[in-house]
Amino acid sequence: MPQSTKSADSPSVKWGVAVDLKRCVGCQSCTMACKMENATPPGVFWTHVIEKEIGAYPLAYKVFMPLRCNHCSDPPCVPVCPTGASHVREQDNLVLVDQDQCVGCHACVVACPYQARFLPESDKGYYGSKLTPYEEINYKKWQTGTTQKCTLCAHRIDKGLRPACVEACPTRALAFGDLNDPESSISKLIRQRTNFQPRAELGTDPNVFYLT
Amino acid sequence: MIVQGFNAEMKCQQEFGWLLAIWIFLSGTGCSLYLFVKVLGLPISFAVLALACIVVGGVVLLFELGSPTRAWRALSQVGTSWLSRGVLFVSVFLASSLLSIAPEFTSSLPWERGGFTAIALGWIASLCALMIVFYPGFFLAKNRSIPFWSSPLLPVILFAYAALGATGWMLLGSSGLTGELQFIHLLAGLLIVVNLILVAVYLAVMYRAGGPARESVRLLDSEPLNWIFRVGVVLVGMILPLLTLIWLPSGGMLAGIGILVGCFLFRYCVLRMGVFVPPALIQDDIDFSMLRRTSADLKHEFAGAGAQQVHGRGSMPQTPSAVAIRVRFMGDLPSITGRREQFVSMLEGSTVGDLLASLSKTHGNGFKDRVFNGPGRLDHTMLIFVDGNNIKDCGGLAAPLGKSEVEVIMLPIFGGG
Repeated sequence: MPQSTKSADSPSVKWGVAVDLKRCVGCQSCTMACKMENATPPGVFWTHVIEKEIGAYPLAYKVFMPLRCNHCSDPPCVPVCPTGASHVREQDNLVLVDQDQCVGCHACVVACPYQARFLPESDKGYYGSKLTPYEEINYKKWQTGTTQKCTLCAHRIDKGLRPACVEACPTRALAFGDLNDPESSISKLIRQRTNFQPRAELGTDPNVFYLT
Repeated sequence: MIVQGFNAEMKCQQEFGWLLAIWIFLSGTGCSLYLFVKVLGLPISFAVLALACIVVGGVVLLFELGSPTRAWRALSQVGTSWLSRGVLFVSVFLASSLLSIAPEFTSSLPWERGGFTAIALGWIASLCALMIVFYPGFFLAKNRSIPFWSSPLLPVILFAYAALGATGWMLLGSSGLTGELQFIHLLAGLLIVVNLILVAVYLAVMYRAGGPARESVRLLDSEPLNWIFRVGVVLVGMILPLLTLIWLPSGGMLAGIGILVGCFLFRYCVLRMGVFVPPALIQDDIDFSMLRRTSADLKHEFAGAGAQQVHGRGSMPQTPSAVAIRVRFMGDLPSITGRREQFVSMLEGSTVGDLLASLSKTHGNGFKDRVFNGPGRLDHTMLIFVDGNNIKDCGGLAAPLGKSEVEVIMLPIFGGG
């Protein structure tokens, strides 16, 4: 269950994610869980983990950083949208895309500093035009030629569940909760641990915090 | 198929390409041409050419969209979106310019050529044309994610280039001009020089900015942009037309073609040079060295967080008096100790010498003879690091182990990894 003392229908809920970089081992379980849950098209990964090697022998080590849409409080992808398809859901500050309004102009894809948006222009599956049974059912969720992105599994959150990536993480590196609730576990983690917001200098106020 | 990289590196935008470059080129040069028609009183055929540029560019822009049948929805966010405003300006421009020049071709309209209504419509069309020239620059300059575009100089350059492109159209159709031709030659030459300076300054500023802006400029050194920019934009688009206008005035049409080619390719280059800000993993001002700490450190921190949740206290629990040491053995030491690493618990305030004495007791004379070269003397082939610091720089065997969990690496100098 999302760890918040407030109900999701309250307008003051602000969902966020804390990523513990000490725990992340780059297993990409979150990547695959997201792909399975949301049936993203070939080559599109709403969340994925990038890695970087730091230092030199004998003290070299790798750092893994899971990336996803940060559901920013000041999202640059929303004002650029000419149709209003890209919007902020008022009840919980999630940044979502209304596919029925999207014209596929690519403006929001380019506007996002985190490269978290995708505009697939083909409806082919992983094995070409002939879709697998899984793809036949799940690809119907998506309209080709419209933008898609991480929704923080809004369909799961609305049922009181956690996002698929958070659920799947084997090292419990991902924490999810209400940033507006000071007693939620994510709020406590952010208070206790040294953390940073990705590219905070751009003024997007992302709601994903990386704990170091 | 969209391909994502899983590496922490700078990436170039792949969304905007030839199609958008064509739209920005045709809309910019066409609307500039319309403005010149109004200012210079050029023949009406140039106004028709300007309109044709907008119409053709608009059709091309529809192919840029993922869902072109919904393009009409793009009018709904004029309050926030420059793209939406652009659609509005284009729509009003097309309508007002068509109606303003229509009396030239038919007399069945209720307003006549040169009348108040036609003039008013012409002014509306001119204002919209000016905004159409500017709005792509505003849209790109507002983008926070691509530093190469995020500059107030970009709308200025795109405007100057649009004006240059308009002179290209005028030179191309110069057979229909008489008295204005010399002025247009002069204007084209002047705009070429102005644009050369503006582009040079822009690239220099972006290079000096460093980071992704510098990477954008560096893209001009790699194919295919190196050829497109140096040959297409600079040589064909600026140098050759300028030389032609100076030394071969009768070659105005050729110069016009070169200018138009250069104008289009410049817009393509600007779009293709857009490099995103890199992921935070590449940021220099974030210290990732803390991530090198051990899992014992992690357990300690989360034990503290769990205690707060259970007892509701606002402070972390007291630090224990024992310190967890993680010792990593390298070189020939694993064959002596029978393991590559070991966790040892030492009292707070212990030194490296105390740790080695404890390990010697555990692993016997084989370990002791390898590490020490006499009582209290470390063998000269042995390097020991405490949390990344060589103990030779912080007291040798008397170096403290610290008050929290540490990592000790024992590395024989001539040993392998």
